[in-house]
Amino acid sequence: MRFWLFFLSFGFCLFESCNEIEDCTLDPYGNYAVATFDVLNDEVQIIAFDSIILEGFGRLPGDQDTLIGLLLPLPVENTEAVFHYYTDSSLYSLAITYKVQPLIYALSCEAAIRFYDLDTSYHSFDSLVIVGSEVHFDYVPINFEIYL
Amino acid sequence: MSLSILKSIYNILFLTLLPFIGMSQIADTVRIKPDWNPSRLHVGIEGSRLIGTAIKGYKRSLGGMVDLDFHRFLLAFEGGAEEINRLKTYEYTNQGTFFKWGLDYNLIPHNKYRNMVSLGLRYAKSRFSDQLTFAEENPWFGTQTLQFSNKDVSAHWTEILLRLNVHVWKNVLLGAVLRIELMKNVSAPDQFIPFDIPGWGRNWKSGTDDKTANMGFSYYLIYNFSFRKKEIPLKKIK
Repeated sequence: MRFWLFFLSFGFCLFESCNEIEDCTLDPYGNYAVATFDVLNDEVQIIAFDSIILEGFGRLPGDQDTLIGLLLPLPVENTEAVFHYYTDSSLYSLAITYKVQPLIYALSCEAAIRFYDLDTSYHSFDSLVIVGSEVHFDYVPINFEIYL
Repeated sequence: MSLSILKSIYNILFLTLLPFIGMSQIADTVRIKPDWNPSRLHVGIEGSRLIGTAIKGYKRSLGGMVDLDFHRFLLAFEGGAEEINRLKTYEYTNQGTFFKWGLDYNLIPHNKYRNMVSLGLRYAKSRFSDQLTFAEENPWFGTQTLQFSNKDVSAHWTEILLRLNVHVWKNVLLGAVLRIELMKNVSAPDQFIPFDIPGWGRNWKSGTDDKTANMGFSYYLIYNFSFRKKEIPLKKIK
């Protein structure tokens, strides 16, 4: 019986020691991919778009700024996002495919969406490199490098 | 599984079994004929689940066990049902059942009170459905309410057990079980990775990846149905 009581208290200690420390600020998942632009033969490496359109949504805010990088919002309900970039002289398009996985990052944190297997099904830039195929701010701060 | 987890498992088993190693330092033994005919049936209800249901508002669960003796072995079955409703900034619900079966080996068959310390192995299977609902705040698309669900997900795993049964009154026993759960395999869920698995516990470790190993502790209130008299094997002679 004494040993059983020891076993009982051992169990309670075990449960207590298994409590995890949760830090929601470490949540690395976001709802957008990141693209940077590399303008060939341009020392300042910036580009000004007249507008950027996300199909099914409309114009993205801040699309008329001069840019060296851009956040690409990814709709949760789809598995493809198509962006059109208008300049005063040309139109570029970029179609991104991805997979979506909802998850609870930690018990006391908000639920998050993990976007992974990022790929392009079409683009009309000079070239494009997929640097990181997952939206994960710890591992891959940039997803696409776009060359113009 | 990493070496450190294996080391921890070994250390826990070693420290828990240490008192019994000392008991076995005896000079001579008497060989007795094994009695393979079953003599009693243990039927138990899992007290830790009942207590959990009473004190944890988000969880309702019920569990039980049955075992039958064969010489020093016990053929054991466990089962239960679990319903979880975690209401945070999200709502996660999970309903399912689990079933475990396997063998225990009694380490102290000659105990005159028929107390028991045993090592066991279980194969466990769980079937469940779960659902996650939450509001996603997005600067581009506004606040969206998202709902994802998995139907009829199955999971199976293996457990190593250290079990202790103590007679407390007539045919009533108290049981305690330390479990090490390993080799979990979850069938491809429809929409998202389940956060809980009935019978296993938390599937997802906070902030990292899924839990490949888990540890559990259960308490049982057991009734002993004895249907024939079985001699307690003679204790070893010093």
